[in-house]
Amino acid sequence: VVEGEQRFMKRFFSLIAIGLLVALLGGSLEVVYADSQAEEYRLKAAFLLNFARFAQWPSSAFAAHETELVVGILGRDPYGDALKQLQGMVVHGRKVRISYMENEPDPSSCQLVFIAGSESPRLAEYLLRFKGYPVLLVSDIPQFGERGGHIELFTRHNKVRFRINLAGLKSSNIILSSKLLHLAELVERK
Amino acid sequence: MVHRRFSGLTSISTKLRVIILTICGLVLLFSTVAATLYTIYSGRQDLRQKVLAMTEIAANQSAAALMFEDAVTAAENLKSLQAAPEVEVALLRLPDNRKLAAYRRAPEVKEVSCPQCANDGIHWLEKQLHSVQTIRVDGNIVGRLVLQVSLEDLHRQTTSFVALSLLMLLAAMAAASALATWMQRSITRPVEELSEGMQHVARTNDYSIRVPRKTEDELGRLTDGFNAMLGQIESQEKELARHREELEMLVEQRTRELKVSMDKVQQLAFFDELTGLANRLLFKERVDLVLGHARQQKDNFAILFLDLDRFKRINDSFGHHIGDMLLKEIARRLLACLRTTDMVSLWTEELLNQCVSRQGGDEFILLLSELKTTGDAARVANRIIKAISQPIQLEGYELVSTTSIGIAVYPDDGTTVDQLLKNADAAMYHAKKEGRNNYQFFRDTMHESSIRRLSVETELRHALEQKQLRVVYQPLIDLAENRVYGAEALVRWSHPRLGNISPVEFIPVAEECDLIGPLTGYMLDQVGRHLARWRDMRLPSIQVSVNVSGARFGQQRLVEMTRRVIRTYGLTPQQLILELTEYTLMTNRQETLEILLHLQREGVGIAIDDFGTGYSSLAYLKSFPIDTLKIDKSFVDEVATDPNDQAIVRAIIALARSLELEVIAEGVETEEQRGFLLNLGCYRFQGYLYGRPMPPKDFEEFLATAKPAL
Repeated sequence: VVEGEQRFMKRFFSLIAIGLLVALLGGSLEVVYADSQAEEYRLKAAFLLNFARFAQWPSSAFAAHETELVVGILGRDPYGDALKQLQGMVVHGRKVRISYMENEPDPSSCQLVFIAGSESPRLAEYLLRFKGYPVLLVSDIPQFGERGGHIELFTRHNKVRFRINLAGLKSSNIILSSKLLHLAELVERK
Repeated sequence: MVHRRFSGLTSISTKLRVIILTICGLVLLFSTVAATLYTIYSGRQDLRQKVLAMTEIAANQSAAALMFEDAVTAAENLKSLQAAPEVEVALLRLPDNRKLAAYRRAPEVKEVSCPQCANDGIHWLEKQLHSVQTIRVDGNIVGRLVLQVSLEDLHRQTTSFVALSLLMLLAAMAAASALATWMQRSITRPVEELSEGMQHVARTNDYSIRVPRKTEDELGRLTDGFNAMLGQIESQEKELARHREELEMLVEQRTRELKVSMDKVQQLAFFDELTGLANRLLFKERVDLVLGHARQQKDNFAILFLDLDRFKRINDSFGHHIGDMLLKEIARRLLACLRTTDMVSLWTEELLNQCVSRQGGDEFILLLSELKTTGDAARVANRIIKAISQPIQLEGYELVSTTSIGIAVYPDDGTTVDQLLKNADAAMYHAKKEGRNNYQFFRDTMHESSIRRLSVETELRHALEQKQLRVVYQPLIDLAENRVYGAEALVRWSHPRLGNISPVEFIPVAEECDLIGPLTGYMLDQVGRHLARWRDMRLPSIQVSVNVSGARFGQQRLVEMTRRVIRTYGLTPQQLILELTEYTLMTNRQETLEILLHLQREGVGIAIDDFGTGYSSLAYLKSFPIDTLKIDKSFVDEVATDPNDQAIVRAIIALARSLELEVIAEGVETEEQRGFLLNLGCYRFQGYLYGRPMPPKDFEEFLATAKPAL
């Protein structure tokens, strides 16, 4: 009798332990997902700055503001607080300024533009508008590179990666460091 | 301590080798240690530079990957470190320390934890090093690279270098050892040669060798110095050897001289220097020997004691030179006599020499052994007397000497050497007393006479002082003028104890012991005194003759004495006649002649006593200032019966006549003798026939009474 009682007690505690474990794990998974959204854009914000660091603009690009590197945001800002982190950082001796742009942006007022996913429908218009200007175009809109954008951000295996369209860059007169190229996928010519 | 131990090492070569090896070893050790340390240091420096460079490159490459958190690319980048096999691990960390990428050379390689490796730079661990670099882009930290590099290679490299260095060290030490051997040989070889040279010299004392000089350095100079020293020593040695030789020669010469001297000393000790005969010492030894022999064999032997007659006179008159030559000749003759004696025929010349001995002066002793009868001794004595009496020619002089011999025979005349010698001496004196030129065997009574002779000698001195001597006068008669023309003064000695002593006995004694001078002086004085007295008594003036001995004659004092007496007593010089014997006249002729000439100038008469007994050359006679010849008594004795004596007397008278000399016969005792002498032409006489010698008082009377009644 005693033996059976003991076996029962053991199983009981095991069940309680497993239940507790499942409850804990379920909670954490949800947090992870929410965090990963913010984390993704925190990374992408860092990427934006990093791209600026590996890019070399022609001097004409800074005609308006000699001392600033203006990062323009087109569309609804997906970054949350992450962009604020970039504000005031120094790249190539220039202070980074975040600029939220209008629907009709001035291509000569900034050096780097992030086109948010919200602008996917008007992408062609924007691409045309910035064509020939020394402005680095970055977006996480799928097929951005193939459609004529410069750097397309994408996620693979839960990691943020990017694709570079060398042909598109050529007309903008911006030179990207080979180190950056080394890390990127290249958009193949059609 | 070290120094001592070092200096305790046996040889220079060992010391040199130790020095060279020690120096080489130290140098090599230091250089090896330095090279090793430098190698380790530079190896680490190289590695450090290399690792820093790799870190820089990898960091640079990885910056973009870090910025974009591209783990794949980062890993790929790190993979390029495969090219450097020493890199074990490479780690890329993001700024929040998350690990972006890692590289491991092999799966089993572990990352070593390094708490102190937070800072940038190289951190050396035991077997690894960590290179840490913070990666920045535009002043912002994008991540950190850590490289873990294995030090195995470096350690292996160092180890093999040390091993190689040790090998090289050993090889170098071996080479140094060989070099040291060669070097020490080049240095010590000359030293060893020097040392061997020195030892050789020390061993053999051969200073003629030289050590060959091989080097020009200090050792060469040392060798030169050594050789120079050897040269000097050699020359000194030679000099020394020369001196030694000279010295040895000198010593040898001295030894020879010494031997000669010793021989001479022996000769002097045992032999008479003048004649080469044995001296008294050796002779006595010889006699002792013969005595011992004779005692055993009941043999007889004889000792002959010789004394040359009147040798003293010869010596005084002719000088010692002639005397010595005479003695030598006598010795020669004695030896010759013995040599021809059959009983000594067995003797060697040396032994013969020892059997004739000179006793000093003119005495000789002979030993005649193995006598058969005493007649043998007499025969030898005769032969000796005859041989010695042969005239001797010496430097133009013809000398005649005679000898008196005393013979003592063993065992009758003595059983000891001294006794025999004493008795032979006594016998010799007896022979002298017997008129010389003869030999006498010892008789017991002779001792008395020789004792007497000794007492005569001592008493004679007193006699002169105490005036025991008296003068007696024997008249001299001239038959042609029939008068007493003079007298011969004769001496008489009445001793209070010994009684009357004959002049025959004491005159020779006086001669021998230098008393003849005072005696003559005394006589002259007495005669002068008596003549003065007789003159004062107005007695007839007469001449008085005084005997002058040869021994005294050689002295100028005779002339002075004569002069003084004549002056003192106021005599006419013609009253004095000095009588000297033929012997005196002929010995020491020149001096005698001068004295006689002096006396003649004074006016004193000169008479030759005992004329005919000597062997004087008549040819010389005329050169002397002589007035009278006195014919010896021995011729007068037999003149009546012996025709020989008559012939001699006739010859003497003829000689006197031809030389215009007076002649007087002595010892005339009988009428017969007087008759013969008158017939032969001699008119002057002296003798008992006319008067015995008488005291002055008696003679005064005789003179006063015995007038021309003859």
